[in-house]
Amino acid sequence: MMARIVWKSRKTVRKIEKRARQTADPLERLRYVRNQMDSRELADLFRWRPVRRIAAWISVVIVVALLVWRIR
Amino acid sequence: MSNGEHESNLPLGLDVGTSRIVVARTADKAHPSQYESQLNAFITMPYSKLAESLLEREGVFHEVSGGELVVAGNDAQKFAEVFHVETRRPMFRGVLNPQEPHSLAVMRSIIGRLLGKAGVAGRKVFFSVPAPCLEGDPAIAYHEASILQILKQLGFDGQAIQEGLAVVFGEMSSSNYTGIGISCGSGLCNVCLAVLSVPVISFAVPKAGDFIDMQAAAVTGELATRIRVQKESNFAVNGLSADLVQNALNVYYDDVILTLANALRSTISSTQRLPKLDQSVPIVLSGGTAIPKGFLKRFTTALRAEDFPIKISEIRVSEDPLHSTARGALMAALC
Repeated sequence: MMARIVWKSRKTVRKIEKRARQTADPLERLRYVRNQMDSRELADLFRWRPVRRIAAWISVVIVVALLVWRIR
Repeated sequence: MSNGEHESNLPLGLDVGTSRIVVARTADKAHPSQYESQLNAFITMPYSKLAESLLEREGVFHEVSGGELVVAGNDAQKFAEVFHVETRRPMFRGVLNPQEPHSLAVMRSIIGRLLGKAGVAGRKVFFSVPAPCLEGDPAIAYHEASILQILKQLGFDGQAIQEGLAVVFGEMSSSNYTGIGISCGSGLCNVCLAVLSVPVISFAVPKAGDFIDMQAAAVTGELATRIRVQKESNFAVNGLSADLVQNALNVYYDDVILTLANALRSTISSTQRLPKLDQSVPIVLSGGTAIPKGFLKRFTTALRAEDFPIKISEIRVSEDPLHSTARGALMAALC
């Protein structure tokens, strides 16, 4: 799930970059890039979600839940 | 609407530098490429009717302030050389000079001379402001507000843009406005890492051209103004030489370059939540301090001396380093 979110965000960035490259005029390119980026939170677009950390936490929670269930 | 009227509606880009003020204007939106600049300096002389009429007859840019004649802009340099005195500076380290009582008035007259009155009220001007130094700089807000006020009095609608970001806008269309723009000016070296035109890290290093001039002047016994002229005419960053002034310039250039490279490395390394970048990014150097031959080579060596936290695709000096900031400000204004 998280990996897919990461993939989608990066896909969005690549789409902006690809489309920007098709614009030859520097001013039009800047206008396009700024318009696209204005509507997006930069950190959300670029930051790798901590996939491994979240997966580890979920594993811990499952293991603890199983242990509690077994003890009871 | 005539061409002249149309031109007077178009936005402007203004580089408010410690050493020079540059305006970028465009006659049509496809070609943003006309520049005009004035030295951001002045000298004063005692007022007399004779001196004033002489200045007027020669077309010298001057104003009467109290009991003094204030010669500002490019003409100030000529007068300083004739009288063998230092020019006075309205700005210091990227902001209005707190030690200079004439600073605001001189800035007002230089900006007024470059821009004129806005043809149409609310004409857009993007002007450059420095990024805060790593130690912080509370004077930036005052500086920005003062420039805004000057522009407002002239009928313009001013908007500030950080100098490093303006360099990114002016120079990095080929990388989709992703990269590190560095403006090596007189008062400061302004740095901005932008990703797809969004500034991620901005900071300034308080060692730049003026630092080199003042230190070299102190050790050689020359005037800083003369050192600057010599630096701009025939200096190359190429190690030690037999000439005393060239030697001093080399030593302090080295200091500035090393400080900038180390600040860049350490600031980017210590920044949390840095965007993960897929591709390597370019670094573009601009500003008068980056012009001497050998600057790029020395900077590249200093930067590559240790690991850098992000991949660099190229390091280059702008093709038009004195106009990069104004061009970027104009592009931002035209967007």
